[in-house]
Amino acid sequence: MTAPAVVTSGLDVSYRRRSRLGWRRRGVATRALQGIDLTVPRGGALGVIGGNGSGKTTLLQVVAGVIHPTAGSVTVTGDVASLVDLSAGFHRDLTGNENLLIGGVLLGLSRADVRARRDEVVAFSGLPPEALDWPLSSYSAGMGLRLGFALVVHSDPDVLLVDEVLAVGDDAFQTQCVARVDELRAGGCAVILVSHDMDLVRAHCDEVAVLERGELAMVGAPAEATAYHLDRKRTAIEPSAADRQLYDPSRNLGTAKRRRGVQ
Amino acid sequence: MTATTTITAADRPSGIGFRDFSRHRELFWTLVERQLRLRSKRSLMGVLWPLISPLFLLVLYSFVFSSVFEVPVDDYGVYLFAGLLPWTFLVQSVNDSLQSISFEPDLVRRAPLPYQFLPLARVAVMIIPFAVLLVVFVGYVTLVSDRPIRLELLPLLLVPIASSLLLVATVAMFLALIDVFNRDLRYLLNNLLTVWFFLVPIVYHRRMVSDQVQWLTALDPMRWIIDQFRDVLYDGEVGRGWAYVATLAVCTLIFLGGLALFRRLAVDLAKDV
Repeated sequence: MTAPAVVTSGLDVSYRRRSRLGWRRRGVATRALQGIDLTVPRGGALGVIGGNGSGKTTLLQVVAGVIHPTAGSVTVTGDVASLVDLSAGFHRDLTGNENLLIGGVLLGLSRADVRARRDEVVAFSGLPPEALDWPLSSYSAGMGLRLGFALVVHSDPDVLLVDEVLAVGDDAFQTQCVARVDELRAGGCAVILVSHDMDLVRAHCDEVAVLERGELAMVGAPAEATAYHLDRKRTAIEPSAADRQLYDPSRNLGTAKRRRGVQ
Repeated sequence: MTATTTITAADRPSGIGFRDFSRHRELFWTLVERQLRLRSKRSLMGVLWPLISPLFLLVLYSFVFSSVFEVPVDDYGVYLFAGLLPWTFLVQSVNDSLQSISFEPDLVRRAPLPYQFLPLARVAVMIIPFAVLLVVFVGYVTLVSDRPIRLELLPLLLVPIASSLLLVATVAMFLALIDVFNRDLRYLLNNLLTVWFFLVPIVYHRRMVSDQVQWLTALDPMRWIIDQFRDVLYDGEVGRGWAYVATLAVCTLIFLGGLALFRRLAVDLAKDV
């Protein structure tokens, strides 16, 4: 009856590099995610933390259905709404109103639904009503985020994916967003929150997954997982021999200098 | 009520995806509307700009091929325009669609959507200037020009119009897909289209092509489409009736096959845009 909202099992995602002509190169695959087993219950909130390039965004893209697993599976119950980048799929040349309509339909709402919810969305966003007739190019990053977030949280999602965007909003809006997300969760919506803000993750997630180079380093209570992650970051300052082979900072610096013509 | 979907590595789209169109009809029309609105922003004539190009070419080619090279065709302007009409629709749609996927990374990464909608929405918008010119041109040849146009043949135009739509849609889809992976077409496309333009009897007459290469031009569906536009709008008589059905059938097959191939190939574009 109460099926979990999201289940990933043995989830692998790899990317293949492409040649100049666009063909996939044989053998050269970057493994973005490996063997990810996660379950998010209805109404639950999973935090995902990890360094840059650890696979957090890829995980959200697979759950959103934008990328297929390379192996394993992802099972989602209900509609997914994602706020994975600031633009929220909005176009800079279109007005706020036009973007709301198009963004809403992309989220799976009907045009009638979008029109019916428009006032509610605008009120939540806190934007002055006349701003909805301006092109998005005249908005600040924060205003764009407000509109995008307002739309997403009013689309009745069963699964909400949020990728490190709240940081752009001011304190008042962040508080408002967090309250709204709690409201959605009370109604059964599951949330996956990708963030570098450990306080936010600790305060609002039931469980936290730590990703390291595409692998699940640990899943656990927020306090433990964030402590683990912070600890790993501290101890990881000294790179291993394998790391050095992959990335030699002195060499790169040299190239950069050469490019700039510095000796 | 809330459906559970499982996606595994083996779940790849197959078939021609009629469900894409039936389930996401509103999304398609919204993308068309988006394109229409985008075209009208910061632009004096917006979606009507494409009207300029065929008129421009009409004047230019009429001068070059009628006054300078003296192509032996009566009413050269009418003859030329009947061919330019479907041709400019092809060129403008294809040019407009080329970057329709690669320039929309936000849409592609945001939600799963049938990627073919992006180029197809652009083609749909290009139908507007095509239709405007067509109506004006039909008015001109029937009311003003002294071509022997037979009104009862006009409905027959729907067949080559449908054929050209299907062909143009297929070409647009594939070029848009290729552009995601390889950017060379951006530099090559207009050269290739110029070559194609002169291989189709648009500025010259089919009779002027030597017999040895006739069969080669006969392989090009665009040649047949243009022939049929001319049957109705220039000659006022139907040359080969079977060709109408055959061209439409071939274009339908190209479109359906193309759609199925596109859906197979256009997987996980979010990784590449």
